Amino acid sequence: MAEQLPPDILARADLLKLGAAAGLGFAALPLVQPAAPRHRVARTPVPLALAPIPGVLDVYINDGYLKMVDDTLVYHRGFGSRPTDIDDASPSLTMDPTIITVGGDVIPSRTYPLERPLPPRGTPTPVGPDPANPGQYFIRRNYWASYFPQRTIIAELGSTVRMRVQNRLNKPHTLTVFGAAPGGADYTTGAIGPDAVAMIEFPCPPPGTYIFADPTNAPVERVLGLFGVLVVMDPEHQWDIAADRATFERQWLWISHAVEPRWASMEAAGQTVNAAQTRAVPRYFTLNGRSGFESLGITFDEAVNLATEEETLISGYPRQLDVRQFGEGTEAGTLRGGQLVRLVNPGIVFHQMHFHGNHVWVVRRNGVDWPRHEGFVDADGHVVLQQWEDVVELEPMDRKDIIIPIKRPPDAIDPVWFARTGDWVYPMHCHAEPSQTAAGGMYPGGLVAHWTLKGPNPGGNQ
Amino acid sequence: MSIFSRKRSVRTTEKLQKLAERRRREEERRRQEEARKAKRTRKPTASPKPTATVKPSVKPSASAKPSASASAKPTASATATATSTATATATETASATATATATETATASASATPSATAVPTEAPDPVVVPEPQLHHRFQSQVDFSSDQLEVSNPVTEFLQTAAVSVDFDFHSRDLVLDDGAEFEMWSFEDDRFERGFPGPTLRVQEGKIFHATVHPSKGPHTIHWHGMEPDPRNDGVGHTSFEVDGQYTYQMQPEAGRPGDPNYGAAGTYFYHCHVNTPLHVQMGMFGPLVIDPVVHPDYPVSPGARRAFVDGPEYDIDTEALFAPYCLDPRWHEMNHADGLSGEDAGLNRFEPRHFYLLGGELARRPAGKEIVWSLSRLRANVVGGPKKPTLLRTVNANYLPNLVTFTDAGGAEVPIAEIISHDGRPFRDTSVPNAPAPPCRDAEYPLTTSRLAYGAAERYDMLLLPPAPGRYYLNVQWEDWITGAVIAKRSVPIDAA
Repeated sequence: MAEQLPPDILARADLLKLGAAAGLGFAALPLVQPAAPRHRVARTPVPLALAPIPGVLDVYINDGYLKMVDDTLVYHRGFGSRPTDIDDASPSLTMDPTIITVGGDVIPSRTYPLERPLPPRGTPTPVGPDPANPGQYFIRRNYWASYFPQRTIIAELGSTVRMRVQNRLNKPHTLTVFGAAPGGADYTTGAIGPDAVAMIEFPCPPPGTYIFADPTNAPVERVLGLFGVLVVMDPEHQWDIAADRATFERQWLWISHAVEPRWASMEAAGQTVNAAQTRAVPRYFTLNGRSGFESLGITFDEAVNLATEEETLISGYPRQLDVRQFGEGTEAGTLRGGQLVRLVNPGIVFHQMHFHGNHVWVVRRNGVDWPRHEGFVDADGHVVLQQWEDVVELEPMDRKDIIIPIKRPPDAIDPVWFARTGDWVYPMHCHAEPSQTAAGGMYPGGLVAHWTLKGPNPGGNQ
Repeated sequence: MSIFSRKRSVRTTEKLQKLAERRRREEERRRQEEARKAKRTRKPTASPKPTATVKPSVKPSASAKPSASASAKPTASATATATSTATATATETASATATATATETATASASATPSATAVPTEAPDPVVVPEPQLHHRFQSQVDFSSDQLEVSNPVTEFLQTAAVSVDFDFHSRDLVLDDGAEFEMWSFEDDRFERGFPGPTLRVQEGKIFHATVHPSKGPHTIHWHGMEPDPRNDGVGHTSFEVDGQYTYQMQPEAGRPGDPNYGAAGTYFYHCHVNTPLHVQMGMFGPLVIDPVVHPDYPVSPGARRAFVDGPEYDIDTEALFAPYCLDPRWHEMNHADGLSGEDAGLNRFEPRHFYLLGGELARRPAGKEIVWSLSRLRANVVGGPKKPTLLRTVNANYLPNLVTFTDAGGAEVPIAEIISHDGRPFRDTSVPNAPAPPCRDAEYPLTTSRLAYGAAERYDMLLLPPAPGRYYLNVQWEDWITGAVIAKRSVPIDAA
């Protein structure tokens, strides 16, 4: 049963007709939108690019159209790395990953720590086989860099975060870093008028994961794409969540989102969405900006597949570990721990992140370490204690840190385990099942990923 | 329910294993050959599954991308236009300047996991480029959605002798639920629970081999054993293994628990469900409860009439043990067909708008067998603290797509903390604060997780002891919340009679 879309949302078929009819570029798209442009959002002339200032990260509030997993183009706004216009073929709506070092440098890089070996296709390879535990491996400790997705800022503890934000749109926007100030308060630029530029400067908050977003007309601007993630790392503990906290082999940042084309279309046409009046009906669900087969790295575009494997698709070699003591290797250079996944939900949907193959160990929520001792049930009815879960709740604006152990799946029978010759791939998906769709169907086309338990491998001498 | 235990001779078992191995190799060869053929001949077109509402699928087109030609890009040589430099409002002192001193504090002491003392071999060059993770490639999402690997009769690798075996058929029936509404439901059935909803209740003990043979009809199906962690072939997901057309025997062995060890043990509450076109098939009712019982450890004997929730967990009263599953139903979805949405048509499966709200379940020992029975929760019993019986164990499976809040109230409606939560997702809550030392359950570490409320969402499971302090009537209340706004959209309650 087809959802009734407002006339100003272009169906995929319309786009294809449009493209096929005249080989038109997307520059022509606004011309065929009936409702646009009563109030064109991006104006001309647009402000010029900013001249770089050393130690300052420049951010541009742009708009444009992004291709969804079914090739539908949906209007978005975003914090970009370069100034682009609405009709740009490749609009900059997400920031390139950037490192702000304790030394004050601002370095474009999608890997951290800097100058560390890069895990091939995202997979850290092991030291070698664990002879006492067939099929398992000794894991390198404090060795591998991790890849990060678009929209990531990594700031080293002790640095000062300096951002210059140019608003290239014709309505005021704001960049707010939630919960990063002492006492859980926010840092914010305040409203940035059209064409204006604002500076925001603040001392790097404690190690952890923070969401920055535009709180204007919440949650509408966030839903349109104005969000990102600040990860704070202690440069003296680059493989620990924080000093004296869990150590990991490598880390992953998973940013979930839900796309609401109806809202996008209204905003593109110059209207202001009232979230209370126009109920959100998300139609696409993303993880690190991708959905469905793109998020699973099984396209014919090898660049997309590689980026997905490096940034999103958890993989590693099986190992022995003890959940009581993540990070404690038995021998020099080895780790008996798993991999860290930072789950972040700047979107509007209550997600239920389900991992097949291994339960995950949850250590922290919204910057608060969960205890191992004297846990309790909080006033909302959530258990606050480090624990195993196979479904991790991820409410809107939640950040949770989890350790995926990457161990032998415990319920596999011995003969199958010992006969293993290749990778074992397990899904991860949201169990709030409508999020598994794209454009009302095409399961599994939504917020999906998988993780790989690597098979016996030459790098492990087995 | 055709649960049975069979013993075969060693020779028979060996023969079967050899046969299985041969079949596995043949199947592997066939799959590889098919993959090679597909690679040679694959065209970038969708192969839609038959549905009642099939529409032509949309192929991707490179021309759908916007062109850069008309974009008026600003020049990069502009000088900064630092107009309104609204500086950050906060001027706090740098309280976050944590000193970066000590590096590693790890003491390489032996863990409770086995053989932690082996020395690593000399490190080879670790940079070995792995292969891409999944080898199939797709031109478009609709190609992927409509082209999952279907196998008629996949072979169970290394088939063992099972302690528990079940056979599940697919069924589709119009069923009347406890509010009088009638809907087409799909689920699994066996000899005891025919054409009912939810699927048959399963119990398996840790350490025992478990077999479940699925016989799909009206299209391919799978069974995913949610929370159980076997190898991928037995995980029941199409795109990481296969969908089943004919039949397949899932095989797994729930891991046995060890007292005080948080790294081992599967005992707890689970559910199983179809993982084909999952949003639709699970909503249609293709799920059922699964309980894993613990091994009995000599240090933790069990009293008559009681069972333990996990190997070193508390004893509970078998007679009053119960399970409930919040479930809600969108009538529009129950008009759909097996593969709706998979061929690229907009089936509206992103819009779940439930109109009917249910609490499924009841006392596990008293689930009514028979035909076309919907297992609905109408009341619970609970043993009073200090009485002659062990406490009542209440298990819950969230069979919902929405967040839920559970509260316990007394007869006057006041919240009362009569629930002690002991497990989540098939794993006990333990105190893991001391490395290399036993990790006791929280109640034994003297901080029982006692509460009057529990928040949870889709597919989560919790086990809790009910601990009413006095005889009388209490209530279990469940509210459903919107998955975006969190607004309460429905409530249901059932009485708990404590004695």
